[in-house]
Amino acid sequence: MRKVLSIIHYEYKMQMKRFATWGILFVALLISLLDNFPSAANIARLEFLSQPAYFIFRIIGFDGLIMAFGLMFLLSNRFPVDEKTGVKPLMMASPMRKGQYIMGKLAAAFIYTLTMLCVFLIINVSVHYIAVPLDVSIMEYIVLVCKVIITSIIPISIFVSFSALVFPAMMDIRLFYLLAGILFVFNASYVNSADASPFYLITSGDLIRLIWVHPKYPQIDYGSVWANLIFLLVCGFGSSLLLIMKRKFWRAE
Amino acid sequence: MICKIKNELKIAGSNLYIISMILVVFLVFLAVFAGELLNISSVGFEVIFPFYAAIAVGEWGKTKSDDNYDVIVAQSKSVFEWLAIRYIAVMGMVSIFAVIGMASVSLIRNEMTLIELLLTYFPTAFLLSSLSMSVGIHFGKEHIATTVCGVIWLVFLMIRGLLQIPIVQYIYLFIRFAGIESNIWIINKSVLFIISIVIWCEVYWTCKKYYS
Repeated sequence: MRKVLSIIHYEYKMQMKRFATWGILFVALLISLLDNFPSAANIARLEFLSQPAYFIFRIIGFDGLIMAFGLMFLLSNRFPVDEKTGVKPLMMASPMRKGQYIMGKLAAAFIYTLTMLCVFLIINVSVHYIAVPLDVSIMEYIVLVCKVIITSIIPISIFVSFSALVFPAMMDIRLFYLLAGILFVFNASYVNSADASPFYLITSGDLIRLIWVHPKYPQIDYGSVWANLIFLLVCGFGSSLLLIMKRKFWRAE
Repeated sequence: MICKIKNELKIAGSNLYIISMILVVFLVFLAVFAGELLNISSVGFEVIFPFYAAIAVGEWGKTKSDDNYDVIVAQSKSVFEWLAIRYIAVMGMVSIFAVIGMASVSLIRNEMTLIELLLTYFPTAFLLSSLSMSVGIHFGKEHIATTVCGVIWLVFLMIRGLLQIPIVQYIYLFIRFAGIESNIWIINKSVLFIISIVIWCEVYWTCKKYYS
């Protein structure tokens, strides 16, 4: 356990110190605030923008995709770089098991993604709380933030961190970028409608409808919500299982 | 020159051909089996292929993140020439596959002519790949060029709503994909091409300033 914790500690610290991490957060914040800052013009453009639930729905469903995409790139080389710099052979020479190494890396990537998405959300929500002169208690914001973390951000973090970490260790990293790019094209070009969303959407799937639904179409298709959740979790956990099962990844034990 | 390009392609390795071929096969497959609602020509050759070109230039056409970068800089007569040859090799190979894909999709779907597809693909791909090259010469960390181009690519995909502002129509990367029917797309592509040339001037200036 101590070895796993030390891998988590090192990986997390290293990722948080990267300039690119904060660069991506800055870009995503800039885009999200330009698009969703509750100014008079934006409120006139987006009818429900003054509602905290709609604001969070938009922040995670739309701008959260930029964060997820950027973090995916930053995580994708964590296994290949260990191989390239000789850290992996060093680890293999130490009394460390394959499971401990993979577990440490996956847990660190998950905590890192979760932290960055939560920081992104909390900054946006704080701006909304300060800028909107509405009689909404801070408690309501806190409840909404906790709800979106549990229903959306945790499954998104599992999907992004695990798949971004594992697939480049099993295939050419350029092919992974291409496949991820194609998936993100479909996500970015999806337009919300009253019908159930496709299950393969990362941030704007039906899971996010648990936070806010359009008053004209208040029904939630729970089958589609489950399908979206299962897709994110199965891709995340399934990819890590693939790596654990890959024999050539570690020395013979 | 041909010999140098061949050498660069040898360095890039066989995965460049395999992955490019997979992408072409995927797009042809979509062209045959996807429904009428999906415009494969613009999605495939204005959105996906230019992004792939940027990935290819950033990952196979490594510059500062190349392990042998210091040796190459020390021994090259001109760093810019080395960069340009590496770029031409990778981007040229990706574009050959893109043309094969365009010809096939154009024959199957009849959505756009081959010339129209080429005009749709090339300026966007040239801009993204030039940007990838420019980032690559400034940052030594691996994958940064792809990350920067990827984030810009996604942001442009997501800000389609801003096309209501007239000036955005001239610089938007995916004007055909956005469904703008007027002839403004030709001006848009010319503007993208000029921006790419400006990026290359910046690359040339950087090479002159730091490596001559």
